[in-house]
Amino acid sequence: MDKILLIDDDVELVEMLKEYIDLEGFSANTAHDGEAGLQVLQADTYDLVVLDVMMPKLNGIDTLRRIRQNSNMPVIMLTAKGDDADRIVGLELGADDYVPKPCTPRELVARIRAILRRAKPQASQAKTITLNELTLMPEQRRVEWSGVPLVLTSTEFNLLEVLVERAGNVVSKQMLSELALGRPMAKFDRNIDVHMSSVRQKLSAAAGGKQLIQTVYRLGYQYLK
Amino acid sequence: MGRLYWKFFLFFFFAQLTAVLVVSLAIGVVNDKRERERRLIDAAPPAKTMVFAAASTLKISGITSLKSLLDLWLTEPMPQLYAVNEDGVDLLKRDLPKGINKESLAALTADSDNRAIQKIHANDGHDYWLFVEPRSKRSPPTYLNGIKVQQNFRYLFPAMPLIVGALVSLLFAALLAWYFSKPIKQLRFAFESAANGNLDARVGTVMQGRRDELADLGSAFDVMVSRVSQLVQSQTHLMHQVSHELRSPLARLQIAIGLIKQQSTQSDAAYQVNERISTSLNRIETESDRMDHLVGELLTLSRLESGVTALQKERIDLNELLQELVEDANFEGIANNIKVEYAPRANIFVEAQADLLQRAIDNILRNAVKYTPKNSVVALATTINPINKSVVLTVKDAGNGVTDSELNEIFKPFYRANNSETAHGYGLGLAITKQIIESHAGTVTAENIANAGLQITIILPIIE
Repeated sequence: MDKILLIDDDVELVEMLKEYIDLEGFSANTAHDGEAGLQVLQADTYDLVVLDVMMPKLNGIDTLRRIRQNSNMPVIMLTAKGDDADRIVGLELGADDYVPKPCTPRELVARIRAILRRAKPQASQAKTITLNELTLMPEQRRVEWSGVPLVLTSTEFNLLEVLVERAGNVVSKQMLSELALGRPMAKFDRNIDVHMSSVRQKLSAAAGGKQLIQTVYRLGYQYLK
Repeated sequence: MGRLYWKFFLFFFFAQLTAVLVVSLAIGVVNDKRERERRLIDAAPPAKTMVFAAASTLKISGITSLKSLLDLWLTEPMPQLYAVNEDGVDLLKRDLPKGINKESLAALTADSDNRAIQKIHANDGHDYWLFVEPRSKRSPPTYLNGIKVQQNFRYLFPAMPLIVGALVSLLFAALLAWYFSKPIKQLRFAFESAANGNLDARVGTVMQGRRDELADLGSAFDVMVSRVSQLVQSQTHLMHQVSHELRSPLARLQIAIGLIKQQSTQSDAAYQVNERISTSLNRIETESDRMDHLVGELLTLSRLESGVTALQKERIDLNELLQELVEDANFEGIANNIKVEYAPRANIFVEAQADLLQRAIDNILRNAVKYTPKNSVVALATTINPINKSVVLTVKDAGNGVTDSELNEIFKPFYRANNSETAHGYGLGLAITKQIIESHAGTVTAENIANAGLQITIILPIIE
């Protein structure tokens, strides 16, 4: 059973959400501020964190920053609708996805499922892909460049995997969203762009400045062979 | 240099110039008399000594001795002393110096207290005026660098202070005008900057060290702006808080609805039987969605209106943006067989925040699709105006338009046109569009097109 940690300062909401998520077949735990959430994460391992942005003590952004210091576990941010700045910052810091708040619990669970499904190695994709200096190991969810491991978040890994599997071809943002995030692209969605920019930065840093992923005008992204 | 500067400058310059002129004239009048005297006779101390010597000779030794003395002096290269009797005849029968006659001598004697001219009663029964001819007539010419200098340069004397005075007053007028107009200019910049939404504008720093009414005005401005800034900040903060606070119960509401649905589908047979409960639940869910949407729109609008969040502008291909929006709008129109027509025109670039501009145009397209009748066409077109470097974007529907009095009203928040009997939406879409376009230095207007519907026109500046 997947263990999920809900970090949100709205106690009532979080209790109802826990009830809902538990009934959907997960095992949820709760924390009501960032500090407490980090303590819970240290004490136990979780498969996914749902993190609210607006919180007292340690806010969601800072909590995410602390989580990312030593973990690439999947994180979904709950952001206030229309607060684009928070959303972009969250994604840039390595959140895997965001859900605008308020949202229906159904929507949230769908996102959790999508992220978890893709955060886990699947039997069908279990073979290692090697492309020049790049080695992608889906079963361990690891990437190496000339033998040096590349640290990617779960979503970043998914995006790179999708592109590398189709190396040389242009992959549209819609397709990337569906394959890597497990959902269709929303209107005015900059999710893919922010994640891609992070992947490109990390990859280019590892490859000594070489740009391996190309943005194709109006069409999407392409991993250069 | 602004108008005020020139006004100050000219005013001070004329005032000073007038003062200089009046003072020069007054000095000139006083000088004039002495000058005239000086020109007729020599009033310098050596001349006075000569007059004194001649007068003493005449009084003590008589007219013959004076005559011998004058004859003696005649051989010397020096200004000559004249002894003129009451008939205007010189003792040596010489021609009198220019301008000298009985009358002028009488006048000079009456005026003069400087002993440069004396009237003596001689022993031959006549009265004699004793005076020395003006030095200028016979004094040797002065040479400067070998060139003969006109001796009469001192008659130009009043012109010198005039020119110097004019130059100095020019300088001071410029300084004074600058002194007054500079802080006013600084204030104007500060006001403009504040009006453009920069509430950090202060004049205190640039007016440092100044202690006058203008500096007071400056500090009053600073106080005002910081107060306004506080108000805006607290209002934005309040809007933020309100929307957050409104959203928390909404979020709980949605989860509660989700829980009921989840639990009842799993266990409660009665719920499945009672379809009305299910319908009501769906309705509650929709309404809470709507409310959430409205809160979001309000938040966006208040942010745009306060202009506190700086736009993150980037270079945008308008054609690309429009094509995406047209695809979406077409998708929405499928149900009613509404088509959005757009002839792509490449190479139009604008500087804008992408998501905002997209939203602004999307609101208009959605409205058009909403109000145009079934089986009709919404036309989107762009034209470039090369003169003022802008793009004119029009969206025309085939609906009924609005009444002419409503053409401006539809851009106001929560305004709903009278003919929109099937209105959805929240009445904020066009208000948001207007705010977005205006914050991008553009304009948006509406007009009714004869035999067609409403046409919305957006004009935006373009970049190369």
